Amino acid sequence: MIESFQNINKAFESKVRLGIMAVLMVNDEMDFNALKELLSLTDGNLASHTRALEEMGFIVCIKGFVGRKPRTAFQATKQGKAAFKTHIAALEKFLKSTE
Amino acid sequence: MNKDKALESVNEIKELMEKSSRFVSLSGFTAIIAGIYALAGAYTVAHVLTPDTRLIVALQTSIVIAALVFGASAITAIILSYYKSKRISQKFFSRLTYRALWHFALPLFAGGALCLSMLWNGYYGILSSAMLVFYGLAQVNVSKYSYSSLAWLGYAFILLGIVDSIVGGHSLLFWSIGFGGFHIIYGILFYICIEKKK
Repeated sequence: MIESFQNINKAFESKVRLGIMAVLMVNDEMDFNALKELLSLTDGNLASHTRALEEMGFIVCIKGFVGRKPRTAFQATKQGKAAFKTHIAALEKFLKSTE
Repeated sequence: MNKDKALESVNEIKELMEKSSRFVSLSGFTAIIAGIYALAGAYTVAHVLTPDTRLIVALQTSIVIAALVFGASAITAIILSYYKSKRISQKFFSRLTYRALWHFALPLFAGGALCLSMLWNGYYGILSSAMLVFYGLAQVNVSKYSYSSLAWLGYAFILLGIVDSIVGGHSLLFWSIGFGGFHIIYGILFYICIEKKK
């Protein structure tokens, strides 16, 4: 039991962060507004969670322009993808252990 | 962290991954209707053409009817998908839709161009096989960006197309089995296995 807890990443305790990582695992990149709609979050909420993930080095933020409008998009880093996979594997192991 | 919470988050992750990367606005009903159009088209061709119809007239009729079937199916698919995407509150004109459409259209255009060039050069023998095979390839290709079960429909079409080219001489029959029969069967299975469950 205890062993399977070790790999459950604290960073992913929040559902929102797990959601952001899940979306970025299967999409090369996703822009801020699309992510906001998918997870049904507010601007501020999403911004604070993405900042936290960025500081941990799990995602990178790409800023650009579409015409004159600024566009913010996110990508998962290698490190972030690895962390997500370990976390999911730990979750699975945990679920199996209590079945 | 308890088991329920873990299970819940795993399910949520799965749903998010699916929703954010696949086009899921297709419905079984669309496939059934497309199948019915195809059968109606094949029936018309079979009854309009008699053995003494001139080849060129027969070909022209078949091509016009095939184009009508294709156009009607495409329009129906777009309308039904649009309504389904509204019902499941997903954006219709999104990157996912364009991506799925592109991966579906590419093999279809290649096949279409090949069929036209065969018509142009007078190779009528394996026209129906080429249509079946390329349509099957389009299904397999799009299955990565939509429902994965579409790949099975694609494999069935490819196989049927190859059998058609080996047997030869029964184009209309094979065409009807594929575009009519397979679509209807897939639509019904899709409805029972995926839509009814929800």
